[in-house]
Amino acid sequence: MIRFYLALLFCSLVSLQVILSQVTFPVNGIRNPVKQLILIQNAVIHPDTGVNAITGEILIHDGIIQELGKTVNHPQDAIIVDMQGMNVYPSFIEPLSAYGMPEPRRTQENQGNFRNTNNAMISTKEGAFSWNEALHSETRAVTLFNYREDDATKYREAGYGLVQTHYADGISRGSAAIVSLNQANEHELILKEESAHVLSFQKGMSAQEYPGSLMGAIALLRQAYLDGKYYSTAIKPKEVNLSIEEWIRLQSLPQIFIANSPLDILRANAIAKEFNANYIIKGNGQEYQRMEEIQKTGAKLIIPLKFPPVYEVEDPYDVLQIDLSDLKHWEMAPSNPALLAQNHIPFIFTGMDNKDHKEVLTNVRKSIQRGLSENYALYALTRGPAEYLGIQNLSGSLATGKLANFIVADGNLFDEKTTIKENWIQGNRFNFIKQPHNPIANGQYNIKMDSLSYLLTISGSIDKTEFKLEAFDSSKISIKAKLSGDYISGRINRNHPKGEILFAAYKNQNTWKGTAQMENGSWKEIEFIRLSNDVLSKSKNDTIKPKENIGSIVYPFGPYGWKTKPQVKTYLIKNATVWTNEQEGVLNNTDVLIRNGKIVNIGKNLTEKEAILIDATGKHLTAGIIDEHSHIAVNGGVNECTQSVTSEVRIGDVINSEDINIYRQLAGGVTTSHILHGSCNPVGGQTALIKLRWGYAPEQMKFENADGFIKFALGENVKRSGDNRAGRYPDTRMGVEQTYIDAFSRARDYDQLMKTKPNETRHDLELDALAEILNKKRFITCHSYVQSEINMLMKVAEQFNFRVNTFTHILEGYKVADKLKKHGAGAAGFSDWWAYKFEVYEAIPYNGAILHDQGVVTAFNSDDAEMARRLNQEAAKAVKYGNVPEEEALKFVTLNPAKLLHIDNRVGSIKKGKDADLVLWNDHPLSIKASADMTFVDGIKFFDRNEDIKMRSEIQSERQRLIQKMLKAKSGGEEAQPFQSRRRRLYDCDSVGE
Amino acid sequence: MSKRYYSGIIQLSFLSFRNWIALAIIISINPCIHTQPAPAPVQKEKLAIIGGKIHVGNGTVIQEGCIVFDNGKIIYAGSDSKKAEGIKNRIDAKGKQIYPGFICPATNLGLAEIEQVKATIDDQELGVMNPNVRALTSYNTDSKVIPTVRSNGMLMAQVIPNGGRISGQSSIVQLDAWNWEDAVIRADEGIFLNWPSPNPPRGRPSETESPSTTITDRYQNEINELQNYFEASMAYSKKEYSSEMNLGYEAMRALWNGQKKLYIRVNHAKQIMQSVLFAKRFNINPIIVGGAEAWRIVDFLKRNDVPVILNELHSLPLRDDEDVDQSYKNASLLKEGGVLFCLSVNGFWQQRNLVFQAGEAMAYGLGYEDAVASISLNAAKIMGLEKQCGSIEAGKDATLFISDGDALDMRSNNVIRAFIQGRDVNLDNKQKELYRRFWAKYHPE
Repeated sequence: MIRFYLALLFCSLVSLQVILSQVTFPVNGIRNPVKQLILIQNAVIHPDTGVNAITGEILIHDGIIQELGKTVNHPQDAIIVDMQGMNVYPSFIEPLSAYGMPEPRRTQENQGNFRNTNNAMISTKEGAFSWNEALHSETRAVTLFNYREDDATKYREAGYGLVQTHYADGISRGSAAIVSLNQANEHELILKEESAHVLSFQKGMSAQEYPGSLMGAIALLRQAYLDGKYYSTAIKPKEVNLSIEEWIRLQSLPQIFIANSPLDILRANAIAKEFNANYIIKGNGQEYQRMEEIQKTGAKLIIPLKFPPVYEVEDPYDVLQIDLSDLKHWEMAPSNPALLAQNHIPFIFTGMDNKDHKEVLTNVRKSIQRGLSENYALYALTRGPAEYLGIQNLSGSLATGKLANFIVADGNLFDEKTTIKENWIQGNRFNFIKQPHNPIANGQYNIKMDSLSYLLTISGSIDKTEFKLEAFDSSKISIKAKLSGDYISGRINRNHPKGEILFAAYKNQNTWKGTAQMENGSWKEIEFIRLSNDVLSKSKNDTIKPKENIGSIVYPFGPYGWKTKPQVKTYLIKNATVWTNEQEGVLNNTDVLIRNGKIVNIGKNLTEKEAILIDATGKHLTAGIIDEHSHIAVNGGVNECTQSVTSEVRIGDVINSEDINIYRQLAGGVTTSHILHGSCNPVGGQTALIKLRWGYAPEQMKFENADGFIKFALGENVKRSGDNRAGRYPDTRMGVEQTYIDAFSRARDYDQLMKTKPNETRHDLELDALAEILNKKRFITCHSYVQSEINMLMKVAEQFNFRVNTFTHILEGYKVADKLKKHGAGAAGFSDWWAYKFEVYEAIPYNGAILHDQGVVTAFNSDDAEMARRLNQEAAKAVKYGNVPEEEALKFVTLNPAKLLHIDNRVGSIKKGKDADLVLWNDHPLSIKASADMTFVDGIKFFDRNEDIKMRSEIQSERQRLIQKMLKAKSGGEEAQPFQSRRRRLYDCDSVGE
Repeated sequence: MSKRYYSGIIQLSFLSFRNWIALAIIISINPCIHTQPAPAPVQKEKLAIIGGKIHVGNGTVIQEGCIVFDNGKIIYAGSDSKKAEGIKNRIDAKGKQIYPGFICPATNLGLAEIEQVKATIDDQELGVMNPNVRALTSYNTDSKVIPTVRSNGMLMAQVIPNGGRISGQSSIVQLDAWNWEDAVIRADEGIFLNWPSPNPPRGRPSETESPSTTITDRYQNEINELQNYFEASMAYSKKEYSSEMNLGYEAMRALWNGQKKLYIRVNHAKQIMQSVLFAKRFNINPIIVGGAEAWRIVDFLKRNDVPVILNELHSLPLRDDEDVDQSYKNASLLKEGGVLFCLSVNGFWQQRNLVFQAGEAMAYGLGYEDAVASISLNAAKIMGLEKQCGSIEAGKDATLFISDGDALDMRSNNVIRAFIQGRDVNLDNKQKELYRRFWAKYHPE
């Protein structure tokens, strides 16, 4: 009872209680002197992570812990709070939120549908700020912060005492602030004005088009670091840029980066490393899928506790929409924290992704069931965030001098049955007495009224009370009731013709007494006599759960992923028809030995003791297929379409190692893919060359020490012919030429400056890449169709004294084959595509044959995730259209693209010393009947038809297991949600956007 | 039946067969003539093709067969070479392969010339319910694309409208004609319907709405709209004359008496079943076009006697979890399941590769002659034309071609002669002409 009154007292005084002795604002009313000494007694105190709990006392003065121990001073004027049977823990700290922030909005000018491209290059923000609105380091959360009662209440009820808040929009989001969740004026709630610099890859509400892709966001970020460096070291900055000034200033704070996938964590970390920064990275809960790589980053993480719900799986056809990776993630998500901890990856928790903050504790408990230690769980909610944010002197544990921020629970915090009863913030007590159910009422009662006698069972947990009424003579009877604290009311239906009984009773020691209004309207006494506690103890026994059977983590995380990544082995491929692509031509009944990832021997009757023998009788062995033009395995868009020159963006930043098309193309014999930027602008982005090392992380897929390439494009795409949003220069082929001349002139001037005055020159990523072309350190692969433009680009290149390495698509190449040869450019095109746009109306399938005949290095490529799976058939079309000899035709998709990519010293033919990138075909490789039986990359067997068939059935049985598990979970009371199918985007040259 | 369409070109048949060959040779030698090959004249003399391997189209094969045709019709097809005795015009096809003219069962060929040039696109009318629009009258026989398709062995096509919920009416044409009237094999064959999709539309999901609910609702609404339209047009058809003409409902009339077929474009198993059950409520036996997931429900399709135009074997699996070669296998799975099916490919210029998709089906389990049937007789059967064409059998149109090698494999596909209803088709095309022109540029002699 005393506690109850105390709570009332405190609640009524809340807004005044924390007021310090002097404030700058007036109070409406008289000053209300408050006792500010509070003594907590008899509590089980958990003061800090890793410290044993003590039963003891806490003395609080003015919101600060004065003393803590088994016994402390007992000042006479202290309010005494008895916490017998209660557990006290430090309040949680939310490291990442937008609490008290305004909703990010677009500026007025961008409210309409779109701005024309010309305007979209200009920031709508007035003043001397960054050219790009997504970089607004000048934003200070502290200046935007407003107290929000509703949100604060929800946080408090979930156990939080402090949050770090930030304006959740943009790439550089400015500074975050640490605020208290106490109830007070903003002035008193702000505990740290600037606690971190928050960054992300999301452009957010910016009215500008740039960046229009993930790689664009990365380029923008990279340039921001360079500009910061330039601005702070330039002898005399020519401009005042407030955003850059703030950017520089914020570098001394903790840098928090919001990533949305395991691969984004790796990307963020790479940027941090590049610029000697340290990011604390917020993940998305899928970190276990790339644990090894994430561990290597050494970065501290902020891990969300959002677990996917059970999906509706009742219709077998609807279930097909749910991918295995989603089913598996549903199962694995609660294991993520434990797995991180087991791998010694430092992390703390955030509830940022949870709509209901209370889900955090619920999900922490689930994580503990999966093996996370209670100790680490507490750390990740309290001390950890304090340390990460540099406020460990303020909060995160309970000790003298720290804020009196603690939660009061009626048991072990991580026990499912435990509830948080109170949350004290800066000594201010918030009591949550609206618990709908008190488990203490659980039990069996004998109800007596009038001359009737029934058996009532009350059961239930935290938020739900259940009632069951039985008659001793087993006649039919039912009850509906409401239990509210020590008061119970409801109705009893005993199938009486006049209706039901209404009743109300209150607790009287071990029994409940009250009145019932019978069906006929008469009032009678009612009494509930408690029988035993059996029900309570029984339900406790139920909580012992059998150990869960959990599927394995595979790489990549989804279908056809490896349980263990395949390793390099020694193989002896016996008795194959070997298409060497060398002078030896096609060798019959020949053996090939591969070891340590290389081809070590080719010949007849080879032997090798340790080698795994592969009988290739009747089969054909060729070099792996090389796709000169591909857009698979990319995250966040292949086109940075927003400007006509975007040489600063890099496909290599956004390789998606988890794309299923990697595996599908291995099944089609592809071993190396040149991943290109799209063809939206005259100068596109830098390309990436990957080997299809399925299961490995993006960096491990990259072709080692390969020359850098860049995508250019000509014609209709760069004129934006199919786009209503005309307005971006150039609009004609004439303008395309000028764009190049301008870009290369700028690059030449820049290169000169860089060479003469490196310290005074602003490092410009766009011009760097162009200067590399001028210095013959980067090479062009140019999307092209008609002869005029092909000729034009060659002339521009010659004017700037370099050569165009490759024209890709180049369907009118046959018209200028002689000029290509003379210039020294190669060609990589489609075999037989045409008529899809005006500029390919004169395309002919004989193109490859003529180019080849004229001595141009000629390749066929895909630009299409499906077609890449059968490039051998595309090569065969060169035989059909133009009678190219079969051996030469096969080179169109193997050796010739290798030459175009400057990797023919490593791959493209079967030759001693070259990489063991090989395909074993079940038939003549140019035949329609051919399919790959095995595909090797670096001597590692990444595809094996027999293994594939095994994996197919494993996929089906794993799906089945998980669906059954979901059905069970749903039957067990978990709320199911319909699955929202995501359409995964396939990219080609013309794809704009993410 | 198609004879009346010949009347327009009979007068042009002054060129004898031999002269025609001579002309073709002149064209092939002289690279300066820019050709859109002229349609071939009507067959005047009896012709025999002897010694070739005949892929009949019905699943059988005749080694060293003999084909005789006259007046555009096959008189004899079999192994008896004596049937060719006394015939002056004969082609020695020894070592060659003979196939029935392949049929593109669903294409906008002739309705589109350049995909991204709107002015050349005539296959999508505005509006949602367009059963009245007819592909036939927009079919452009002078399209530069058609000869490129023809020269790989595709000699007939069902040209179809696209877009909207009910796209309009298709027609079946042969691919060598002066104008659409001459091209007709069957006018206004069927009505094409795009079954609604329960999947979210492309683009970012809206965060404000609950997407799952709204998508389900939208799907149901679209089905309801379709249902209303069908019911209304059916009711309308009960009267012979309407005081107020409704062109759409008029066009639907032929569905109710079975004069036109209903083609439903749909891919996912559940939607295929829903669409078939929908059609059955109106006593219509539909034809499924697309059918990417038809393999999952072969029993359902067989029980309901629903044929499938299986579209685009060269597709990625619908889902990550599926077998990597799922699409390639689809044809053989339908065959095993006893479903009547034929193959089709997307687009118009792409039709020349239909033959290789049949090859792909063969590589993934379909028997060779079944693969041939899947782009010839099966297509004819689905369209109800099996008595007239689709295979090399006596009494049918003499629509067939001779290939130097295996036509289903790009490595060996080389169509050297083709006949459409007995007419000796010119196999030249714009692309061959450009090839000759530029080859000559680099190799002046």
